[in-house]
Order: sequence, then C-alpha cells, then structure tokens
Amino acid sequence: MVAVTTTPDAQLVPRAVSGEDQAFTELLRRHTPGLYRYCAGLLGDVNEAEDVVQEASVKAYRSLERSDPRRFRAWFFTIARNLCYDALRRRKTWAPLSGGEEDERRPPLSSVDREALHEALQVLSPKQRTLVHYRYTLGLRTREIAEELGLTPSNVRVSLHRAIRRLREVMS
Amino acid sequence: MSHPDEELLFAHALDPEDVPLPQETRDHLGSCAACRQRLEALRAEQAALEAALPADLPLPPGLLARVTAAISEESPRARPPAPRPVADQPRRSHPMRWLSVAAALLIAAGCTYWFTTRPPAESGPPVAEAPDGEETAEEEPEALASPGDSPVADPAPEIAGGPAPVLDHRNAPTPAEPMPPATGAPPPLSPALPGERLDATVLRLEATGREAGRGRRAAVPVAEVEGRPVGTFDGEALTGEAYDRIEDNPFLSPLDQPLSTFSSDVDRASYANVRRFIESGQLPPPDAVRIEELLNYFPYQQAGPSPEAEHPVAIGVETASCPWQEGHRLVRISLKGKEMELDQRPGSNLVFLIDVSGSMNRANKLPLLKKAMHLLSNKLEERDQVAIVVYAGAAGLVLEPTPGTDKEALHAALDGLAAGGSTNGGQGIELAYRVAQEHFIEGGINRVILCTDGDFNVGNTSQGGLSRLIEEKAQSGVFLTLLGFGGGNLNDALLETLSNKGNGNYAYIDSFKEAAKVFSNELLGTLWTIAKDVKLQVEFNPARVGAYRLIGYENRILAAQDFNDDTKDAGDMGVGHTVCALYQIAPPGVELPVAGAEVDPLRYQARPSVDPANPELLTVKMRYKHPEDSTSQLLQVPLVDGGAHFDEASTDFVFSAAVAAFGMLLRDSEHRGSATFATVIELAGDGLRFDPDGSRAGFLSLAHQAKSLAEAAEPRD
Repeated sequence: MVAVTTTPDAQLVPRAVSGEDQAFTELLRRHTPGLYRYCAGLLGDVNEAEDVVQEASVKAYRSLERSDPRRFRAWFFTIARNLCYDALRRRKTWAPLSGGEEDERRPPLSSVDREALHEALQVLSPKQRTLVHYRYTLGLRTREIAEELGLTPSNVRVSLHRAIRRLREVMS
Repeated sequence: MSHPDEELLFAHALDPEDVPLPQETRDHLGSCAACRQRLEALRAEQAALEAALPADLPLPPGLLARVTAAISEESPRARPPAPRPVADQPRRSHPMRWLSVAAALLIAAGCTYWFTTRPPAESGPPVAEAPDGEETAEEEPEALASPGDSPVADPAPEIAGGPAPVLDHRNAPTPAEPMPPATGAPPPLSPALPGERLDATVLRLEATGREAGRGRRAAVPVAEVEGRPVGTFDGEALTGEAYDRIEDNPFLSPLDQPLSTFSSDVDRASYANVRRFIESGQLPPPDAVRIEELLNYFPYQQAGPSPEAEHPVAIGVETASCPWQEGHRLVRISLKGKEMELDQRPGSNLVFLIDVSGSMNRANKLPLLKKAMHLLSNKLEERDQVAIVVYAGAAGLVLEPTPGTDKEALHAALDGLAAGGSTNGGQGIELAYRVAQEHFIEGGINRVILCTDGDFNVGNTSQGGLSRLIEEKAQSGVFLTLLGFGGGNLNDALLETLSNKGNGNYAYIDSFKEAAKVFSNELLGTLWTIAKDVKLQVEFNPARVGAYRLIGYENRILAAQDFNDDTKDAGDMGVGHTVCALYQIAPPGVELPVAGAEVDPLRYQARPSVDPANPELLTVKMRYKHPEDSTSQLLQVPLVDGGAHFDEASTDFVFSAAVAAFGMLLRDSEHRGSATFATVIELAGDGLRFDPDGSRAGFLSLAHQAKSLAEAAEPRD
C-alpha cells in the first residue's frame, strides 16, 4: 500500500521539477489559499487576485527549476507580489508616500471599520501594504515576515509601526 | 525616568514574547497610568486590525481546479523526467489557452467582497483585457465579465416566523471564522457593502420543508433545525443553510432483522457541497455529509452490462477485512448501469424552472447558469425541445417549448433573464409541470429542471402539497432534476427531499467545471433513465454475521416489505450510473451494542433455526423496472466470504473504503473505529491507480485539507 504522508515543500519541489505534477498540485494546494488572501489584500480586488494567483502559479510552474526548494513559499509569494505591484502600477491610483510628518502622539486606532481600512490601505506604499497584509491578513509572525522579505525582525517592526502610524493619520 | 518611546511599546504590543519590555520600562509602567493606557490602546489596535482584515477570506470555489487546469494546459506533461539544467528559456506558453481559462475563471468569480468597493475610477482593471478575437474558448467564449453580471445588493433575508432556532453547538464557528474583536463589539461591517448579508443570526426556518411523510424525520422538532450561519466571507455568507439531521444507521443483528432494504441513490450533491466547505477553510456540518453521495461521486472500474445484455444494471459484490475495525469485514455492493451511445438517446423535453429571485443575482448563480445553458444549447438537436419558466414574485413562461435547433430563440430568452424579486416557487413548479406535460414526448426524457439556490418559497402551496404534486407528476413520467447553486442559503434539506419525491436527481453546482459537466453531458445523457425504482435488499446469514451496519443511505432506508411492492417508489438509474454501498459486518460472537438488543427475549416463539452449514455470508437482491414497465425484475447474487485481506481488495473497494471513512470522520460518527484522516489519505492514495477524470486525486487533496482543518480545530476541544 502506498502511504501518503505530509511531505515537506523541500521534498515536493524537486519531485515537481522532475515531472511529478501531483507534487506541484500539492504545493499549490498548500499555498494558494494564503497567496490569494494576500493578493486580495494587496490589490483590494478579489477578481484581480484570482488572476494573479493563476498567473503566478503558471509562472512558478514554468520556472520551478530556478527556485530554492527550501524557500518555495517565499519565492512563490515574491512572484505574486511582483505581479500585484505591476497591476498596481498600471492602476496608478495610489497616493504619494507620507511626508513623514506623522504626529507621534496620534492615538492608536481603537476600532477599525473594514471599509475605511481598506481605503486607507490604498494610501500606503506597496511595501507597507505587504507588511500589513502579511501580519494581519495572513497572521504571520514578525520572524516569518522578516524571513520571507529578507529583512531583519526589528526592521519589520519599525516599518510596520510606520505603516500603522500612517493608517492612524488617514483614518482619524 | 522619561516615558518609553512609542516604537518600543508598539513592538512589544506586536510581539510580546520577542520584544520583552526592559525592567526600567516595566517599573515606569507601574507608576505611569498614561503609559499603561497607551500600551493597552496599542494592544487593542492590534486586535482591531486583525479583526478588520479578513484572515478567513476563503479561496473561491474552483480556483485551485482552474489553476491546475491552466497548468496542465500549459504543458501536456512535457517536463523531462530528470531535472533540467537551469532553464534560461522559459517553457513556451500557450496564451490562447491561457486566456480561455482566465475567461472561465472570470465567470466563476462571483464574489462581492468588501474589496470590490474600490471605486472604478480609471482603475482600468487589467482583468477584462483579454482581447476579443483571442478566445479559442473550449469553455465559453462569452465568459468575460459583463456589467450585467455584476452583483447587486440582495434583498434583506426575511426572517420566517416560528419558534426561535436552536443552534447545534457542534456547529460553533470553526477557527477559520473570524473571532469578534477583543472589545466584544460586533465585527465592524459596513452596512453599505453591496451584496453582503449582514445579519449573521438569520436562519431560514424551512422546518416545514422536512417531509412529514418520512416517518423518522417527522419526529424532529422544529427547534432542532440545523440551519446555521455558514462561513463568513464567501461573499454570500452570514445566512443560514438548512440540513436535515442524519442519524447513523446502527448495527443490527441478523437474528432480529435479517433483511436490510434501501433505495438506490445516484445523487452526488453532497460531495460538491462538502468540497465547497473544505475548500473555503472549514469542515462541513455533519448533517451536510451524506456518505452515499460521496461514494457515488466517483467513477469506478467495474464494467456495466453490455448494451445487448438482458438487464440494464449489473451487480458487483466484494468483501475484505475492514480497515478501521479489527476483526470486522467490509462488504461492497455496487450497481452499474449500462453504457449507451449518446446518439441513440431519445428526444428530450426539458422545462427549466429558474429561480430569478434576488439571491440568484451572483456570478456563481444566475449568470453561471446562463453560461451553462448556452453550453447545453449546443448539444440540442431537432428532436429536443426546451422551455423556460421563471419564478420570483410571480411565475411566468419566458420561453415556449422551442425546438432544440432554434438556438436563437433560446439565447434571446436566456439573455433576457435577470434576477430580482422574491420567490414563489409553488406557482412556478405547477406551471413548469403543466408545460412539460402539454409537450410530453412519449418514450423520451421528460424533465422539469429546477435551478435554485434553495431560496424556495412555496407560496400558497403547502410543503406537503408540493411533495405530493411532485410525486404525482413523477408517476405521469415527468421527472424532476434539482440543481443547487451557490451557497449561503442553500436549502439542502428541501432540495434533497423534493428530488427524492420526483424520481429525481439533485446536483450541486459549485463551479463552472461542475456546471459544464452537468449541462453538457448529464442533462442529455445520463438523465436518460435505463432502470427505475431500483431497490436493494440484502439478506444476512446469522451463522456468518453477528451484526451488520449499512454505511450511509440513511435517507434511503425502505421497509423490508416495500422491496417486493412495485407500487413503492425508489431511485432511478441513468446511463452509466454507479451505485455503491458498503456494509460493515461483525462476525458472530463479537460483542457489540446492537440496536434492538435491549428488548427482552420472546416467551412464546423460538428463534428461527440457523443452518450452520451454509457458507454464504449474505445475498444481494436487486429489483428494478424498465422505464416503461410497472412490474419489477429481480436479480440475486449470493456472496461467500473468501476471507480476503484488505490488501488484496480491488482498487474500487479500497477507494470506496477511503471515501466512507472520510464521510464517517466528517460526520464525527461513533462507528469510525480507528479511522483517521491519515488512514483516508493512505487508502485514497492507493485508490489512485484508477482515476480517469482526476476526481480521485481531487479527493486526496480534499482529504489533506480536511486533515489540516481537523488538526487546527483540535486544541479547541
């Protein structure tokens, strides 16, 4: 009897590269739900997010050989993130970055209206938005975010703090 | 000392473990109320942000399948068996195919999340950029989103009268659902969101939909109705879905009840529905899981009778050890309908009864149905005719019965359909039947096809009256097919009951793929009934069987005497249909709590004597009628247990055992024995040796997801 157990990504990737489509399907099954949430958050549009997920999956499939099997997830998300940025760039509606004049003493947000937040997120830079979505939409820990984006944890915290101060400004 | 800076407090609120506060800061907090409040506010902010961002946004149904399809289109397995050197030349893509898949994707993207509130202003969504001439659409050329497809606000769900519903606690929110914010305030949903129902507590009390004619169910009090708020952000969630309660069949002793009788069932709706739940990140409510519909979803290797065979249905019986209960045996009984060439099919008289109430106005409902109808229209021929009846506020005939070749009239009628208004299904169904009967095709396929999301309001007709109407019409040869669309207020219980009454089928359409399968193949092909009132009766030999249990088919149990009673209705089988049933058998002498054993022994009767020499384990009997006949034919197959081990069993046997175990786990059945999702995965992997349509691989993937969901849910218990 063939036992099928949970195989780490690091083993699935080489199997997928060697032609085992089942292995690639399994990778997709694992990562597309999170990827979709992430893209939907970043783009603010579920239809576009579906497209990006699909395009990213096809791209990942085509160039799987070039990925580091141990960092498949980060690589896959990077492909999608770049596609999201492309889409956002085409849209050209995001607001200019904050001038850095934030009021340190603006109080933390006490309650957050979904729609208002969604609008406020459009004001953040793509990088800031990525951080917000990694953290709150995907629920990743700071260490995980840092690893995926190639930053240090304290770097992530500082940037996230800046992003949220910006949100406070916009939302209050 | 001075106040700690916000950066530090923020970092601590974000990651309390990774960024502990230094001693001096803690000392300061002890004496500075303002800083304490600041830290508290920062923590609350974290919670508010988490609550406001939809961590539970589920993957749209079918997206994964579409992505997989796009990839298999991408390269029909051109990848060489060995790792390639670093590929500087990307694999040639097939933009044409890619577009058609993207187009299909758009149709099914029927979600109105808060995201779509993005103002349309010059945002020029690249999604609709597929240039016209480019679709080599194997799927559907008109797939690009049109303004007409955009969802509009649903009418607020009405709250039916009657006693307050009691939510079953098993249906408490799964971890995939968002927790309310720490403040205890309701989640900050904006009332302005289009297409989103906001009242999480509304349950559709279709309790009267429980068919009183089914003895066992009649006893279920209204308060037990298990409508539940399902999901949270699948774009149409926060409403109630209604499922009938299912009690597992118990173990029975062949000394008390030597006969087990049930009606065939070829429906598969439950599988698509279970898949929708799991793919959106939650385990289905136990009552949404009908194991027989899971079993019958998959193709099996067993061959059907040859076209010339005397009987249109063949019986297969197999036994091996039970993988989840040491010492027990598992018996698999399967029926297979014969395959026929589609060009031999009789003419079809199809009356579509389409729900155009407000709730159907989502891309995955009415617009999806319209696309699917276009697919169907391509398959229609001269001898076929199609009519369309719609119902909402009032019922109306929008397309007179029209020959299958007049595609223009059909398309025009379809394009004119728009959703809006409330539902009065009662009038609609009467009109649909009347139209079907007036244009009856002798010897043909005469069907009313009800397409709804289950928001089925019978108006002035009583629920019982509706069931009787459907039953009566089935006698006259007009059968009923129910197609459930979307989710959120799916009235699974009512749809299943009605389809059982109308010699009907019930399918759940969760994606364009499923729609295409049903509309382009099944409506004309497999709905071609080859045997009607198919009943099964199994007689167990008490010398070989201590106790037996039928897995699934709870809603299909018949009284023993109904088997030979040709006036008693049962399920039908179409071309190529499979019916698969499993019995778990405990050998004599095994201690088991057997239903009915608590009765005292009889004083005036002796137990029937048992022939210890007969080697047979059981005999399977099947009765069916030819579609035109009113007298049934009988087929019998005895089974002698050769003692096969599970490892020696057929692929069909192993795979169906996996599906049954999966169903029992989802139902949280007390009879699941040692089965776990890991067992299911192992068995299903073995069953993959036969997988002509990829559905078994899909099952394996679903089992993996269910396993993760179950593991995630565990610590909460």
